[in-house]
Amino acid sequence: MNESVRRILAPIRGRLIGAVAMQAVATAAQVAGLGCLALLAARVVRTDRWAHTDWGWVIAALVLLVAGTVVAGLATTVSHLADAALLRELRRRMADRLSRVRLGWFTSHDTAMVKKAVQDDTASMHHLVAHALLDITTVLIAPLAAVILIATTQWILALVMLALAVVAYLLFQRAMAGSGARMAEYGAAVGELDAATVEAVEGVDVVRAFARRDTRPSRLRRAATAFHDFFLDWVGETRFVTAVAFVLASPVTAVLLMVCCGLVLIGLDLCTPADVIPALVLGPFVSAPVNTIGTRVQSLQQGMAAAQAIEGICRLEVLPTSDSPRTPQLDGVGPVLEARGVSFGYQPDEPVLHDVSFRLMPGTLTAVVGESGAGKSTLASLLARFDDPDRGAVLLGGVDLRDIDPQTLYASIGFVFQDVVLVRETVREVIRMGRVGACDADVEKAARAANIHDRIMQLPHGYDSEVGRDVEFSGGEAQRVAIARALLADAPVIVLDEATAYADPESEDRVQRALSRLVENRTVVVIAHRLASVRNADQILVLDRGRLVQQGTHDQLVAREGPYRRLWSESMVSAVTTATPEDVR
Amino acid sequence: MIKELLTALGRRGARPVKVLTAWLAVSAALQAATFLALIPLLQDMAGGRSIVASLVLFVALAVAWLVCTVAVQMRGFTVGADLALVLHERIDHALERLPRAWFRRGRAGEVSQLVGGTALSAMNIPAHLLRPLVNAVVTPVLLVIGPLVLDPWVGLAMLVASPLLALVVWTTDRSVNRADADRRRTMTQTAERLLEFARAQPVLRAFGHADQSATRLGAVLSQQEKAERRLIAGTVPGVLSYDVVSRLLYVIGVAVAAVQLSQGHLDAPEFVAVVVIGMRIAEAVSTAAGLAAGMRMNRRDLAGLNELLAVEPQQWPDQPAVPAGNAVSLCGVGYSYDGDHQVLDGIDLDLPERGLTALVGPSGAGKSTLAHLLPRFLDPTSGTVGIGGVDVRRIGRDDLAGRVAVVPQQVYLTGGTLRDNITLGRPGASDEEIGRACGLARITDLVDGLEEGLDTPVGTRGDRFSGGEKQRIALARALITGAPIVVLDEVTSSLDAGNDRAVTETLQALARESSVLVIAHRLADVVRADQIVVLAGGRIVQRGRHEDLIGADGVYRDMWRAQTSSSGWQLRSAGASA
Repeated sequence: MNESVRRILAPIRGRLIGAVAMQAVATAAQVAGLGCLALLAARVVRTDRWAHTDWGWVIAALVLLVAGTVVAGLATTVSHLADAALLRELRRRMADRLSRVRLGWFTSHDTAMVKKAVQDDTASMHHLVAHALLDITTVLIAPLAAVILIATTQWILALVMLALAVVAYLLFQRAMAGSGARMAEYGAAVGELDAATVEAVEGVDVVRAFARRDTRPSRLRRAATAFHDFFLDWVGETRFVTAVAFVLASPVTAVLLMVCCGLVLIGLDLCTPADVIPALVLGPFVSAPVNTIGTRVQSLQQGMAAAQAIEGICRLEVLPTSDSPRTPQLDGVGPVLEARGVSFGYQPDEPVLHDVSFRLMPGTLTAVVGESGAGKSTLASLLARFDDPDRGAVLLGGVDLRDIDPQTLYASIGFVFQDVVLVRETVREVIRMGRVGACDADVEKAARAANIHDRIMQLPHGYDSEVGRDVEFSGGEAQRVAIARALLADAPVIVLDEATAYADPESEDRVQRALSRLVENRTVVVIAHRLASVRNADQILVLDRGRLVQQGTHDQLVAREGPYRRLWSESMVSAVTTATPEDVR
Repeated sequence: MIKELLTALGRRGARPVKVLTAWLAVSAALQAATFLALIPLLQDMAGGRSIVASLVLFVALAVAWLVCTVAVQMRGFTVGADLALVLHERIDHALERLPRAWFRRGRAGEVSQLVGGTALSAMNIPAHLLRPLVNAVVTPVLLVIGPLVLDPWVGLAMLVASPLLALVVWTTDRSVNRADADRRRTMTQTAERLLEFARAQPVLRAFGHADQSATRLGAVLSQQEKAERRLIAGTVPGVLSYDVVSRLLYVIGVAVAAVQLSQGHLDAPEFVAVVVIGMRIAEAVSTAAGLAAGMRMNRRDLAGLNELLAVEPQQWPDQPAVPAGNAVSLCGVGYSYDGDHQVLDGIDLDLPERGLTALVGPSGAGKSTLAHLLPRFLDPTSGTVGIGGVDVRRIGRDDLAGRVAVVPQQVYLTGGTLRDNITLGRPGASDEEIGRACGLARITDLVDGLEEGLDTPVGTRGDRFSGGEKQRIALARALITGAPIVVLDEVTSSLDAGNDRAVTETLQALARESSVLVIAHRLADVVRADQIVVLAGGRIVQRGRHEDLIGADGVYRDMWRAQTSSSGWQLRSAGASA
């Protein structure tokens, strides 16, 4: 077993060893029970009569079988209980890690990995702990017990059976030998099937509007044919060997071999017909498990890979927290937020921000502008400590964000993001996240101020409607919910990522009025996508490919040659093509 | 499981599986015959007779079984592969005909699971599941003849047992099924909670509740553990009882044989035969128990596949009519997703063969639904949509696709290169044609800026292009087809100022030779449209040119005012407002 499996299973190690031991005993008992009948049959042939003492064998068989079953039941119960405890523990650890990991990790990684870990990998772990280990034990112990029982009357036949099992196993191994290289091809073929399926479903409009069925089969059909051809080719190489191995491990072959070898041994006077009987009965137990060992090992390997993936989540790098946190000085005099020589990149060799410095004075409105990809949203995420700068520092009230207790930090800074992630909760709870313990009246007040109250009252259960089930908010609505939440939080500093495209004109107007209320009497940083709306900002920061290239008020910046003036004139062109109200009135 | 599989495969696809099953039955019968042939062999040996005849019979049967089984096993693999192909083709066939309304969010995941999960697992059925299953039925039934012939009492003891066994199978299967479904459900719920917790991290942390919610999550996790503990009680007896019952029956059979032996009704070799053959019966039955889990899984998955295949497809005409011209006319068109709420109601609208028609209105007014009627993404629930005087439902599928080009709101780029994407509706278009379409859609600079130009792979879901770039690529894709009717849904929503203006000009030029229908939310983009149609609540409330509409009271003027006032809106600092 590999290291990560060992570590992950450590908390339930004792229980697992116990379960495996019980399963081994149970399997041995069950085979021994059946063996009693085989030995009884041999005895009857040898003596050619029935003695009363022979009933002892039948009773022994019964007792061993029942006891074996009870112990096996115990083993299964213990392994399932251990599994339930382990999975709870693993899920807790994953949740704990996820709540402390750099948030940048979520932007640079697909949540697919988390999804796989919490769904598929935990299921594979369940299979490993609760089933696979016990199954493997049975597959190994049953042949062993059977060989020993056969050997007690005829060791040569025991050896022959063992040899048959080994030959069948080696043949299976040979059939599987090339599969490592082929697995990659298999993965690619399945990947193309998947991609083609997603395209057929998500791109249904495009496919229906444009794809010409008369000239070319669909991508899914081509992928299916390619997969089929590949697979036939693959099994074509191995299916004969696999089929032969399968036949060798089957009970008929075992019985045939035991009859033939037995006759030879009898002919050579090495044993009596009675000695062959246990081998006839128990022989198939030695070779038959070979047929299932492949799938058992496969599920064991899946479990191990799953353990590794889960451990990967449990070991994600977390944002360090300070042991001796300091309190930021928000006295209304010094700068509220300050960036000092901040550089940052998601990948070490691809810096997104270079040496950015600026200060936000109390009660001012600062706008960050720049073309898309200039690093505006990344800058906002550093202010929220979703990530830490690679070089330089962000300070709140004169204290490095890294030295502030997260609770204090988030009580001081409120956020309205571009992507509004709404958790599956009632609308009331979603807004209440802004301030735990806020009364319903406060929640409603915030919703009114954010212009979303009326919409909420139209929902089937009003504030108790569940987001995602009772209602899917449009972009503009979700944004107003987020504003309500930020209003309730009432933090002195607001970081605002203005959305690019509003869902519809009516909503746009309401979002704007809600935003105006939110920024009143606070220190605000706005990531601006429309220059016109931030013309009155106290300070405009112009980002260009990660560098702070200009800084000043609108009037100062338009007076100078530079990126801001270019951005401004572009936005003016669109304003001109847009007929102004005066033109038509 | 078998029933579900055969349904999923359809009549033609099911044939090879049925043939294979028959051969598996032959193999199982040969196996039973081989074991039964042990009886004369044992009797001849005990009686001191010549064993040649009985040995030859036994070996001949064993060899016949061997040859037959190798052949059937090999066939199982190819049948499995063919079966997956049939399932894939049937899914593809269904996807091409499913009503557009079926394609909700989350469907991609569901279908991926069917193609990559269900259909591939089903490949294992012929090779690995069908054989033990057939064995478990055929072998015991034939083998029990042995004990019956040797001594009716022993045979009957084993036969009487079978109803009992069936009862056990039935009850445990039910309880295990239920427990299994419960476990899957709670596991999925827990996984969803955990995933939601991960996805919501930015919000949770920004409001300082990462831990708070972790405890709420903690409650869910504890519940899950409790549920699992409850389930164990339901699962464990089921897993074990099948195994133990089949073996106990064997012991009982042997015990009855022992009684008969002790009373002289059975001789020693016959007793041995009962022991050997009885064991084979018990084992054949108990291996089947190990298949239950796999069969349950396949049954459930295949049932899901059959649901997809059973969805009523969209109908296309066998003998299509050819429209005269391309004027579009909607007569009394209504549409409802649920038969209750009318998304569109009593729409009468004509689009001339040339000209720009703009569809505007508040969100939820039914604009996209209306646009989806032209290419038959949807069919109206009342009224008719006609092109060139022919109901679109009577036009051939490829003919209609050639007449109506669509630029959807959510642009989707298919796999392959930029060229593949642009020429999707016109395979083999020349570089000149592509260049002209690119110019009109304002992507010439974009293409020239790429190292591999038109041969640049677009990547999964076109991630390497921005929203505005994707919209223009989709526009080029529509323009190159030269379709006489072009439908554009919010094509300028992600464009920056310069491209917005250029694309608007392109559309105006296009409208001089084709019928263009645009859905717009920026009214400024459509002030020069030949006809503006205002939708609200699924009805046409106003129509006319901009100059007419702006002068009249109504939805249009309200929207215009809201938009012009919001474009002048400004954020003001605390200092300025104080």
